[in-house]
Amino acid sequence: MLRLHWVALSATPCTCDVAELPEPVTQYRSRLRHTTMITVMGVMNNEELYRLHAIELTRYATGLVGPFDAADVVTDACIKAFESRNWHEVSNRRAYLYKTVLSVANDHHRRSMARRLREMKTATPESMPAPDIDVDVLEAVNRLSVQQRAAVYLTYWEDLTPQHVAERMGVSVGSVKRHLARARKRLGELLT
Amino acid sequence: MSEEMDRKMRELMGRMVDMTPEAPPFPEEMVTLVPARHRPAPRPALVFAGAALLVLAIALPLFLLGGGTGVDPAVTTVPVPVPTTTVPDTGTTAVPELQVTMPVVVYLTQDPENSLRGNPALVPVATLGSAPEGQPASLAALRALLDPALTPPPGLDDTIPDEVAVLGVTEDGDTITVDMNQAFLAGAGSGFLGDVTMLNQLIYTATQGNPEVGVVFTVEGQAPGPYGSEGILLDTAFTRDYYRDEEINSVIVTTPVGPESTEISGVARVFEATVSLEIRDAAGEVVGSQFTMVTCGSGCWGEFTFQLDPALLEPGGQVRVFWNSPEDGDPSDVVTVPIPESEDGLWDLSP
Repeated sequence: MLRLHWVALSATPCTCDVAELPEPVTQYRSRLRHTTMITVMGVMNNEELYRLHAIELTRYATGLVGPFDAADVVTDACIKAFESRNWHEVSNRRAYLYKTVLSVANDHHRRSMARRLREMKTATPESMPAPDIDVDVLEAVNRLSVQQRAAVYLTYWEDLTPQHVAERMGVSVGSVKRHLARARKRLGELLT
Repeated sequence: MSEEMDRKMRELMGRMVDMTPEAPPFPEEMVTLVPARHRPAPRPALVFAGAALLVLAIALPLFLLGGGTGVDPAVTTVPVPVPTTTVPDTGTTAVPELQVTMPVVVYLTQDPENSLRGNPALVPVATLGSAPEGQPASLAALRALLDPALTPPPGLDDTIPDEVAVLGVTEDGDTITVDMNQAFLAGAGSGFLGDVTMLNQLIYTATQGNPEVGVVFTVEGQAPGPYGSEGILLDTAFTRDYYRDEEINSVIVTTPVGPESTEISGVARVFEATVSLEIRDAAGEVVGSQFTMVTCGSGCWGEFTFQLDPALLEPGGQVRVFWNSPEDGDPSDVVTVPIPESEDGLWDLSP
């Protein structure tokens, strides 16, 4: 069992919303009925936190940079977050990790996804991509900027509202709507 | 139609997610809960207590054994409760300073595309900085630039090591005195050009309010020793043009760009005094271009200003400023200024 503890808002300021917490915490929600805010700051170490979120972050990174580089992006993002001076003051670490994955993916994709696709197109039969790689999907997603991919992933895969997508990405709701509109436009011809 | 499109978008993401690889293992370098360079200093009292315990624990057995005969201190293993370095210092007696947060410009670096001389470019980026009430805005800007957690926007870089910090700034007419910590003297750690680029980042950032003034560096309040890998003497007031002719890109942009920007300006030393500008959207497609004259011809530095149409500035897009090669007309020494997501044009430079 994860070593999770909580402190009532009255004892510790700067906390995170229960709704944003991962399931292992929220399963104790009934014990939190007297407070809507708790904190897990400083009680879950980095490794526990990583194990808790690694799968969802890898899935998110796959939506942003494709399957080849998703693991690298997650690793780089986590190292970057854990080394950040502000890390110990972050109230919602899951959201922070999501933002860091997006930031790292932003740097990463320029050189990567298009190059991977080029490599696939020129691949010899021996070096053909693995059968579980869906080239058509990658080509479609490659038409989008990383920000647009993030908005599409969070909207259509995680079913988040524009408000929550905006919070997860660290941008305004207006930006999210613009990203989605542009993504739909870019993919429109392909998908209709 | 919209529902059908939504369904297809959902399906597309589903197929994308189906390709998700296994999550990477927890890397060894992540094991440290508190990174060494950000670890708070141990409290003196705890250090003293720990040291006293250590001495006592080693000395007592030696004393009891008659002066330590037969005991090798090197292999003595005593379970001493060493104080942890993660104990927070509550410092309850300190009166917190009132910090004022304000928009500032920090200068980051970039390897310009098609660079003829291979010199780095400076790229201005707007963000938020903070300084104690009554302190100059340049202190807030330098603090923002030197924040170890600073994460440059896509395509930009930072030459300044995390350990470098600004201790204070005083502005006095023609000069700005910037007091740095000792780590500053080591330079960027990547040779002469890196050291000079680091100085340029500091000089341009410190003089954003008054580009004509010079910057005097001190280290912990004293005249600094030799700086960087080649021992540069910091015995003068460094203006923006001090290291401009040989160590920096021939196009220097001095205004950051946001989605609502109407102008971008800078200085350049380019062929036939002509600079060009290109606006690209978030997908990298050119949506606008123009050119203008620099106020001074070939071989000298002149100023330029472009008027921008905000309708063309898409968040996630870029504004590229360059000059055209006389040989083939190709864009040269291209400075690429990224456009932030935020409508106020400010970058969040945290990770």
